[in-house]
Amino acid sequence: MIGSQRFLERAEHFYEIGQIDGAIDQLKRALTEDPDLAEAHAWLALCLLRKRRLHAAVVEAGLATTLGPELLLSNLVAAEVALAKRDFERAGQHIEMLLADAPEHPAFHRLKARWLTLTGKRNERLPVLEEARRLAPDDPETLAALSAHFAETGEIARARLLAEEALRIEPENQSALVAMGWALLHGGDTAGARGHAIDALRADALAPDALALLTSIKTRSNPLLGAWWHYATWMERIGPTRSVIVLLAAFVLYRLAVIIADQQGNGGLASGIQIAWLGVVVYSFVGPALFRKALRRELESVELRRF
Amino acid sequence: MSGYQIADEPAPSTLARYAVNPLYPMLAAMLGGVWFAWPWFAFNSFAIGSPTRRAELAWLVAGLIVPPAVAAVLISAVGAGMLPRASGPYIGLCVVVLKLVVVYAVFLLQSRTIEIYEYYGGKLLNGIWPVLAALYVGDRLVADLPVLLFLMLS
Repeated sequence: MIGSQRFLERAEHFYEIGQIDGAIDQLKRALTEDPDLAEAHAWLALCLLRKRRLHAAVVEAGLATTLGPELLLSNLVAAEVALAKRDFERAGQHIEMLLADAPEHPAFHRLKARWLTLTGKRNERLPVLEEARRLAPDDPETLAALSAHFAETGEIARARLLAEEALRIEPENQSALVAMGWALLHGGDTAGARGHAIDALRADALAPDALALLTSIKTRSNPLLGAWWHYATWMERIGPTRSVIVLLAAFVLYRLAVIIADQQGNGGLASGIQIAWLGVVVYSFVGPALFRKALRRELESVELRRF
Repeated sequence: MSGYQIADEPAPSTLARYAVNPLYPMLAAMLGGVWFAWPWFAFNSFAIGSPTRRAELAWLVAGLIVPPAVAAVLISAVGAGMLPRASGPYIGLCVVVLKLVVVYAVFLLQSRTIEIYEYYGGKLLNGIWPVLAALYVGDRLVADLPVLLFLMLS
């Protein structure tokens, strides 16, 4: 039991510093010693969500809520998993339970703000975030969330001030870096925004918020390149299953176009469509690798400019 | 990989040394046909001890039954005059798409497991030679079978 607690503490440390694989390893050790440790299951679910292993995260979250229904962490994980599955009704129920049990926790108010954003109730978000700030005025995550809200509503000066404050408290905070990037981009400082986006991507090269920022920056400098970045990040965001559905739909359209062109006796058009499809096939194989290479180059170029 | 096992982690068998990246069976399905690719998918699944192997097998079995069944119904409809004679290419497309759905579904399920398998140090064989063999043999082995069996295995 003592050993499992030690592994759990190490896992929490690894999670805090962003080493998710290390955290998973420690949690597996903890659960090998004590398979009924609800807290370890809950942390494991959080780690698996960060690794985008949703199916396993759902299983671990279920074990956490079964073994420790009274734990706040179990409810938090259940809410996060429900949000990841886009089951907003269940997520809302868990968030309300969290806020009823521990209204003093700013993270739960932020989670509610995120839920409001995802359910399209953006105009109800501000009082929730302000309550989170009242509870913890120096919490960089809350400041970053407020900054992102003001950047969205066009109050750029306010957004920038809040992001600056968040970065003064925690210079490496990913949410704050992204918020500052958006504030700078809306203020017309593309280079500054890019630097912040790259800094945010350093911890997680596929972090959706930071990628969305970098994509918008790309679009400003080159609309064609920006369109490609939009497409590539969209494919990353929707995940492999939906990407395959998109490709299958494209295949059906391609085959239908060829059949119709052939039936109308337009062999030239059919050949043209087939050549275009060959391009799509080649791109679907090399596209993701090209995108990751472009992203890596972005990260390296900013790194080199600093030295 | 001993100790606590996460739900999506594989439990490799002694055959795991013959496992390949599921990209190769997928290519074999496209270049050679189902008769070669689907047993290969099934073998791969058992070799790495995929936690989703039941779902993968269910997809493969459904993929053997549903496309020829749909084709049989549509061909009968053409025979009965319910569909125009020119719908042949569309029926063919329907069969191909149904098979592709199965191929992609199994590929996606196996890919997740293979990623984790490799993360824990699991080694994979290069599957290009069986793919080339499938490309060379193609549909020749099943070409003389009755239509429905051909639709099932090609």
